[in-house]
Amino acid sequence: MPFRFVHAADLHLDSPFRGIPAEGALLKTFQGATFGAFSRIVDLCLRERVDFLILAGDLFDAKDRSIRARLALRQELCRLDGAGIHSFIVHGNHDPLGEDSPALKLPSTVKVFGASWEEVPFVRGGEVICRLQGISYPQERVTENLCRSFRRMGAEFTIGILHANVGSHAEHADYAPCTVEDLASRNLDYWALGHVHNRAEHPLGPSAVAVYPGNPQGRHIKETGERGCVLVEVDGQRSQRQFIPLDLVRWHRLDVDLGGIDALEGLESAIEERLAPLAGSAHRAHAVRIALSGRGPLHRELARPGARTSLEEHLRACLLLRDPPIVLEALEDATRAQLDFNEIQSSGGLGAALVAAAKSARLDAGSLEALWEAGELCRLESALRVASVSIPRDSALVTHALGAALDHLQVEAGVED
Amino acid sequence: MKIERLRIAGFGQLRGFDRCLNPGLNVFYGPNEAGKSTVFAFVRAVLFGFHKRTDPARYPPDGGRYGGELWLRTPNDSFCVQRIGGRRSEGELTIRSESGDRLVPSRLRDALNGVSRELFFQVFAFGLDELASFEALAAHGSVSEALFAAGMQGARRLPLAVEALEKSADELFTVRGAKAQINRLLAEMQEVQGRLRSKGDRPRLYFEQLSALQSLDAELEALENIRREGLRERDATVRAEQVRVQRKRLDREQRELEEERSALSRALGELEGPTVSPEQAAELRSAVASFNARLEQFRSLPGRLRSLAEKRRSLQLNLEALGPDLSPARVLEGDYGIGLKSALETLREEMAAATKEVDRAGQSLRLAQVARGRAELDSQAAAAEVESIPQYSASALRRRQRALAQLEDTRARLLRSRQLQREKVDSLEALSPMPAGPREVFPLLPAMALAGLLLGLSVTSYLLVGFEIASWIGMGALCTSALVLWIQRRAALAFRQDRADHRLRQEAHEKARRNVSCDLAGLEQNEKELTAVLFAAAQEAEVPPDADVSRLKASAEEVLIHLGEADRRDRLVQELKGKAAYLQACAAEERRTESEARVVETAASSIAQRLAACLREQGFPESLSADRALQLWSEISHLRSRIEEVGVEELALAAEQEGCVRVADRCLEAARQMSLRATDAEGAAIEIQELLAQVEKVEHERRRLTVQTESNAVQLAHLDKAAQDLGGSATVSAGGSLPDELLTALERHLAELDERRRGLLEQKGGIRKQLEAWENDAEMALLRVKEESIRAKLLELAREYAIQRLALGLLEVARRRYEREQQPGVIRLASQIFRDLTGGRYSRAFLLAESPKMLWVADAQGREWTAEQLSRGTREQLYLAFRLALIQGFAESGRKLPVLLDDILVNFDPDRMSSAVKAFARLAREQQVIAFTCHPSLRDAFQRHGAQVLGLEGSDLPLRVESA
Repeated sequence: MPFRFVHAADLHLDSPFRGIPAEGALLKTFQGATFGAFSRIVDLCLRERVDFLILAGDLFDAKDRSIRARLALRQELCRLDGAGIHSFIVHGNHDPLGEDSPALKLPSTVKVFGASWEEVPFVRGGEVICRLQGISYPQERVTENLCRSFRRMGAEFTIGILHANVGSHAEHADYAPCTVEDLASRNLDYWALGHVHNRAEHPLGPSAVAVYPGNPQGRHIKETGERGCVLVEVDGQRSQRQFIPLDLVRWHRLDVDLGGIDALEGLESAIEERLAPLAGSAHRAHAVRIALSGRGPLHRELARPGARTSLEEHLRACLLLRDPPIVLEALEDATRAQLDFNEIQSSGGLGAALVAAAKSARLDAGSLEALWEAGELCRLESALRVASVSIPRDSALVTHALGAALDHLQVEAGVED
Repeated sequence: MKIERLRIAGFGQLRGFDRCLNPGLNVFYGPNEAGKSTVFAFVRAVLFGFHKRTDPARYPPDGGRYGGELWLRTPNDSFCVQRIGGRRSEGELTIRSESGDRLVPSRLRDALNGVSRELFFQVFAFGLDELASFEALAAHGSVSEALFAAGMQGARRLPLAVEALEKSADELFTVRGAKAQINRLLAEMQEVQGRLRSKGDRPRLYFEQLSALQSLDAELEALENIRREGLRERDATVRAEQVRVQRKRLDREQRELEEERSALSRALGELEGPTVSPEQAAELRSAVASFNARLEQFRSLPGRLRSLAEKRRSLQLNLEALGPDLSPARVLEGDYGIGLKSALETLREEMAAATKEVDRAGQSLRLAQVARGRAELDSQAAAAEVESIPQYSASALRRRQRALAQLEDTRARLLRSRQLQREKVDSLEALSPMPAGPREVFPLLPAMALAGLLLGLSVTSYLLVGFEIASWIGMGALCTSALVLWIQRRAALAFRQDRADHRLRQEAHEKARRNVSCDLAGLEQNEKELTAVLFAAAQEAEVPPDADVSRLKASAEEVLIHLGEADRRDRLVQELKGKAAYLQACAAEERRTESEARVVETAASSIAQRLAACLREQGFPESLSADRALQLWSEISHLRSRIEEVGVEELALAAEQEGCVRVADRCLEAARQMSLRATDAEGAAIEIQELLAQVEKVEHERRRLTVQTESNAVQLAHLDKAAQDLGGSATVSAGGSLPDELLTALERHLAELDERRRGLLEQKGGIRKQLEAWENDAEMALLRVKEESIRAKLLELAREYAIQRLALGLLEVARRRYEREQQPGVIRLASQIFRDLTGGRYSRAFLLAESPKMLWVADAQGREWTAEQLSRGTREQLYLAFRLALIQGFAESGRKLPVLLDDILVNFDPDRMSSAVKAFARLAREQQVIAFTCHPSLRDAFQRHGAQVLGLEGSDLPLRVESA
């Protein structure tokens, strides 16, 4: 019997946005965006008259200690309940099973899976039309492969709901790690996954598929582009999936090449030109990070002390006035990366010595460690620990350092001014 | 560039000093004060100018000429540079070529290849003083440039870069500070986290409070049940008490009402007053109302009648004043309508127009008379003036004037004609006869004769010397004959051409002569004609033909005066004629205006008669003017309308009077019917009104008593019913008194319950408020946003700090590597020279990137020293090594200048001195080296390397330096 459901994950209700000013008129818009996106998911369920909704973990962030998130969750699930639409929920690493869940008093149509594997049938008109299996995180850190608990229990279309890192994505904590093969081996028809915030699909066989719908609302610059959930139509053992964008505010990353731009007005025009097709009026606001690249005539002007900051402030003020408003998350000066290190090295002199030293630091961890210690960066790291901030020791950092050193020496491709 | 010769006219102690130099190594040798430093300074002075006058290094001579000259050789040429003391302190520079031609001063600059004075003094011509210091050398632009050329790329800004990066990094983070950006953010983060911690686990607290709220609700519900029961019990008790009290009150009220009903019944019985039936009352009210409606008229009627009679009398008096025969009746009957007014107005207008015409005609007549008199006077005056002017013939005068002008013109033309005649005669004389034509220089005949002669000669030679020679002679004769004939032909052609040209010129000459002769004849004829005209004109002008110019001028002026008088007389005669015509016209006008005045006056008198007839007809005095008659008509019309108004008013008043009498009679009749005593209408109306008021009052009181009686009856019925109802509550009413203790206990219990309820509600309200506050609390979210925001900023700044610290680390690593491996070429060369000079004791010299003005050396053991830590001799060797390296560096860039060394090796030990001399000798292979020394050993060492030794003796001979 055909049926339809909506698959969403990683709502992160009421969790803070990164890179947005902590005050200002737009704060409320951004703060309400996760709620708004969830509300749109429920609207979609009601509009499409789906049979049930699947939420695959991380509905909110426990560390946010947000009451509003819990109340909003209950309110929206009550709306579904009112329309006779069921909800199936697993908890993830950000919202592990806690003491407050029973106190939420969710409607009877909501099924929250426990810390042990469980399967429930979904019955319509007295007939089981599908089976849903799921498992919630009892605590934040779950390092075992949870998918091994899942197995096919009947001939009906079977859905596995799991919050897991399939393929060990580096950008996400490696919780409940598993591979695509692991999932395929469980012989389920549809894996409703959560945890990875970018939309992805992993075909598991002729008809089986594992789907990450991504989070319905981007919250920082790494979550750019459209965000939403997946509307699934099942007929027999086959599922057809349609991604539905639902985000209220959208994140963009804009790379602007300085080459050929010789005045700040030109830069503004270039940014405007690039932004125009992205920042549509369908959203309540946009957030953008602008990365300047290339080594045009403007590079020197922007390299002056305070020039980049004043440009950033100017752009921020201008972009806020647009309709819908755009928040400038950051103005990134990536022009240093355009230096031709080979040419500098062949030109000799101190520049060449610098390039050689940087090369050594990039290739040799010991050299980088020596630089790290010489710069007393360990002290900074220990100071930052209280803020849970760590500096990634990557080669890009060394490249940026090399660019900074060359900029200060005013060495450019073998020519000293 | 090399110095070939130096000639000192006078410089310090040297005079007349002249030496030729070797292009390679040269050494000036001499004891102290022999003049070595003087020669050294002389070379520097000639090339770059004398020192200032106050400077001891200026070397002024004791007397005589100051300065001298250097002969320089460059790869292209040689020239002499002369510098002689003059007005300017640096001396007068003169540059001459080998041939003595003067060259431009830039020639010297070109030869020096742009090397400045300071650079030359520091690098190419230096003494011990310059050698002892490195800072001045390093500070100089060109030297510095050479030292820190491309090989040192970026190193120059290294200290600045390090300083900037450290400053920037310190602004981001310091280990112990609090002001740096990261430190501030960390403090802010701690504060935010502290505030977040203080909020506790909100959801847990929320749900705890939520369950506490639910418990409170349950407790409140139970309490409410108890309270409701207590209230019910208390209400029953209170209600019983209320019923008892109410019963007592009703009983009392019932008694009072019974008493009141009895009193009312009595009062109704006792109520008395006049009896008036409703119909009568209505009739009385109607009569009084009619009378009251006309009361004002009634009262004002006599006054208004008096006023009307007064008006009529006044009108009568007014009419009498207007005319004796006018009475109101006549005025009302008479025709004083608008027709009369129109007739009077027409007559007035006609009379006014006729009067105006009469005035205008009289005025015209007066004007015509005045004009005629004035015209008569003008005519008489003009006739007298005409008589006073003599009479000339204007045409005769004009003919004479024209003749005078013609005479003058003819005399001028005659003069011009005679002038032209003279010119023509001169030109005719100038046209002399043409010379004879060309002659033929080479006629045909002699040519033919010469050819025949040659042919004859060939025939003769054939006859005499044989055929062969004769044939040669014959061929020669033929050629010669042909040549002669060709020449003759060319000459004949030229002759014919010349002859044709001559003929053409001759024809043109003849034609010109004929033209001039014709012109001359014409001029003579013209002169004759002009003479005839002259005589005729003289006769006409009444002057002799040969009269002089003054006479002609006087005659012309006389004719001009007479012409003026004749013109004036003609003009006056014309004016006189015009005035006579004008006089006639004035007389005619006077006659016309007289007849017109008469006609107008007749018309005016006719109109006056018509007006009199009209006035007479209306009974007005005939003597009235039309205006006055109109005014009288207006007044009569006004009085007539007023009379009509008074008549209308009288009629209205009569009607009102009749109405008043009617209502008064009705009122009196009604009063009589009611047996009232009033005799006049007004009194009767008042009495009737009083009667009616009394009747109404009694009636009202009656109605009130009736209503109250009915109300009492109703209340009594209610009381009876209430009493019946209360009869059921037997326990209360029967008991007679309530158990006060029970009520008090109930009240106390209820108060306790209320108190407890209030407490619970407050508690509930507090919890609800807290929950609502938590539900709506944005602070937590804001703190989390802030925390994330600070975290993001911290990450960004930390990354920036790490980049800057790593950049500093990279710079340090690069600096060390660079100092070790990549010194500039000049430094490397200097290092090598220094190693040679010191015999390998020192392995290298180098510069630190961050302090490029300080030299360092490393010895063979690798120990590093600053230049200041070395002995003086070694330090001078180090600096010499740098100079030699620099000289080599400049040479590579094409700047090969002579090197002058003023006894610089005195602090060198023999070995190092020898090494230095060797180095100079090597240098001298490429560049000229001129050393100065007082040490024989040095002289010998130089000499061993092929140096030319030059003495300084014999310098006191006078030297002739050619003046520029």
